Amino acid sequence: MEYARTKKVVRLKMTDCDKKERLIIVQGDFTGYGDVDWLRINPTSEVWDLSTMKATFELNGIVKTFDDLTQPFAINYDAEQTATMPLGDIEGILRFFNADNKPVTIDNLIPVTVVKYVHGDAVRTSNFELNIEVKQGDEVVMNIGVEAGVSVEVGTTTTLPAGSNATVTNSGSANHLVLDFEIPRGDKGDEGPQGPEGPAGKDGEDGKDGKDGKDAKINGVNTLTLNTTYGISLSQSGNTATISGKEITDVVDSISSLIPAQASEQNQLADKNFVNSSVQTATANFRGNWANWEDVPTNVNDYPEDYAQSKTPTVNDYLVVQDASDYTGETIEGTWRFKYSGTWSVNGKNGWHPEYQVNETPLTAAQLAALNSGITVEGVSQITTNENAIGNLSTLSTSSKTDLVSAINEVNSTASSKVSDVTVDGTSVVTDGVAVIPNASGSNYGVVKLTNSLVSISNTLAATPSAINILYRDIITGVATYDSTSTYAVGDKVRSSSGYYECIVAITNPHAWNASEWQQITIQDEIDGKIGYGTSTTAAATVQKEVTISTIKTLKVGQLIIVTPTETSTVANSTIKLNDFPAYPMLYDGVAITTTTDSYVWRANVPSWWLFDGSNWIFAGHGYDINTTYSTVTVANIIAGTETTGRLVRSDYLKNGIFGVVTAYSSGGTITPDDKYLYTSTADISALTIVAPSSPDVRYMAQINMSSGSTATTLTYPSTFKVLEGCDDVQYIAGVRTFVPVASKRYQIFIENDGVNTVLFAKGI
Amino acid sequence: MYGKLVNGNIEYASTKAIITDEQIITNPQREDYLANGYKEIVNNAPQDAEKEYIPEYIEQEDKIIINYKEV
Repeated sequence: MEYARTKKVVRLKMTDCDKKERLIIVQGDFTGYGDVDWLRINPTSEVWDLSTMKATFELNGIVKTFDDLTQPFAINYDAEQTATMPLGDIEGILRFFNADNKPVTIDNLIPVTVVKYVHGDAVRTSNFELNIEVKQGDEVVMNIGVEAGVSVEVGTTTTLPAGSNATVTNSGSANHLVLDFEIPRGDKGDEGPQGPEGPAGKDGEDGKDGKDGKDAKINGVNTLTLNTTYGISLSQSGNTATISGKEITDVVDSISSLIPAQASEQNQLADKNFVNSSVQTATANFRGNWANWEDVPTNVNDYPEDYAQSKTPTVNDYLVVQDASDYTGETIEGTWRFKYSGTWSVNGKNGWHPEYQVNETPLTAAQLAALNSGITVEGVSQITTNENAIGNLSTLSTSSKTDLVSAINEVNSTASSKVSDVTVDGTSVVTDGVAVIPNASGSNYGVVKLTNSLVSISNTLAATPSAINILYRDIITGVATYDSTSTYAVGDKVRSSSGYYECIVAITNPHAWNASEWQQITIQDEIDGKIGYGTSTTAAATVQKEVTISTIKTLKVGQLIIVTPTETSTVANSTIKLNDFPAYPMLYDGVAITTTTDSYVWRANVPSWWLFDGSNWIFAGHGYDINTTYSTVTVANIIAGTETTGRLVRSDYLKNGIFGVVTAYSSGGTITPDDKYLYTSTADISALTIVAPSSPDVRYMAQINMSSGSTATTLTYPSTFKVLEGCDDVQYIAGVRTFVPVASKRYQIFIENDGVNTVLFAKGI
Repeated sequence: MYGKLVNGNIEYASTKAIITDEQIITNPQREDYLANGYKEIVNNAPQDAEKEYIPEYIEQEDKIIINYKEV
């Protein structure tokens, strides 16, 4: 471990400094050890990485970094060297900042152990500790060396005239410098550009009065100018006219005095009262419509009242006389309007005078219609303006025709807003400008709506979905619709609008549809449930044999099932329980199962048929041959017709029924069906001829090996034979369906004359 | 192979059956063909398949010979 060591630890005066921002001035000295004032920086095992730290020096607000300091303050603050604080004659000031540029003090530089802080005034350690350069522009005007332990305070600052020398005077003590600065002002600069125009000045004072003007002249005579405030007054005395100023009220009064109380032809001015009176007296009141002049009242009370409830005719009042021919004043005819002039109290009825004859010509219908048409002045003006554009198409001008075509095009393109509702045959085909095809109804054509709500096809002439649905049900179910006038038995099937149903409650009294009497079924269920197949694992000694067949939903008379037991029954009176239906007895040959027949009808792994008759399961057979008496059947007995013990083939039946007599046959011979031979042989047959049967009841059956070695038998038969469908080895030769046997194959050949044809059928093994 | 000359052309017999108005003979043998008017056919087929030929029929008592003439 190396120790960074300093011989002296000094600091500037920093009584005003916070403890955490103390400045540590160190001076390295590799010659001295053991000085008690050493500041020992003791790095720990951790690396003291100062690469993110920056040392600065601050004095009276001036922050310096080491880069700013001149030697000997160019302390190497590289992390590695600083960590070991290299020995040597190195002096410097350390202040540490962390990566966040926050001051880091000795206290919280964790890896560093500060042995001792030194407080108090600084101790001079060298001739100079700091250089301060004061610059004016780029010129260094001052260079101050500050010794360690000396505090500096800026005293006064004085600006000296330009050209003077700058001075600095220490007005403090040796350890507390108070620097008074005298800095010269700079030299006078060049003249600047002209400034902008200044604001307008104040108004000047009024000028002096001018000289009096000359007298005015009117028509060559001097006139007098009056300074009239309100008006002028003109007076005349003899040949002398006097004009003088006058108050305005005097002027008005003078004018008013000149206005007469009543206008006349010579003086048409009139005062307000006269005007009002004239307006009032000019009002014309209607005084009735009279049949003739004689009827015009002479009594004032017989006139109608005016707006003021007065019956007295006044000037301008008027009335109408329908037949004024009896008027005595002058000769007039027809209907006249009379106007009143004069005063009733003076003139009475004679104040009425004919004014003008009223047009009595009655309005024509066209005139009356025109009056009632609502035509407006604007309309008349419009018609007048377009007078030349109105007329027959042939008379229209080209421009009017163009306008008309444009209008039609506009209607065509914006029909929805131009065309109102249109109906055809009482049915709307255009509504709000939208074409609507009416529904078909009655004899009208239109849209045929195929909706489920319509079941009738009489109006639409088209099948509706419901009609199709009904038809579909008719076809698929094959039953009629429920008839409320019919009776039904349990099991009867009908269809309704909602499906396919089977009667579960007998209906003896016809009535409307009652769903509780019917059970809905499906065609698929009917198919699936017709014949069912299942297995039974019931133990041999258990009476009730259980079978599950999921496709059978209901158990009805005639139900067929096929059951394959896994155990052969060993018990009598056994029953079958199908699904959840009751167990019903099994019958064989009409009687209950015995310990003899049990193993026959209910045999392990042998499927057996069972028919339900409503109360029993009747054994309907199976394909398992359980006859054990074959050994007793012999060919000799069959030929003799005496064999009666064989269960499957009884020779007497064979002899008298189907085949007739069994006989031998030799290769190359001829089969004569009339002989009713029954032949079976595995011997080779190279050639064989079958002749035609002679009568309709002849049939023939044989088992023949149709080959000789690897050569197929040459079989010859009448060309009248018809080879049946399903016959093996059939080929069409020259258009004839031909049975062509192949080698190494044994055929069962059947020939029969049915009265019309002789058929041939062969199956080979 | 058996056949007949009908109008200058060969009418071949079926190998499966001989059908007449009266009977049908399946899997016929030589004697069956001969008994029904068929003769054995001897076909002298040409060797060079690249050339064009026309057949020439020569009917003998018990057979029909086919020769081929180059076109």
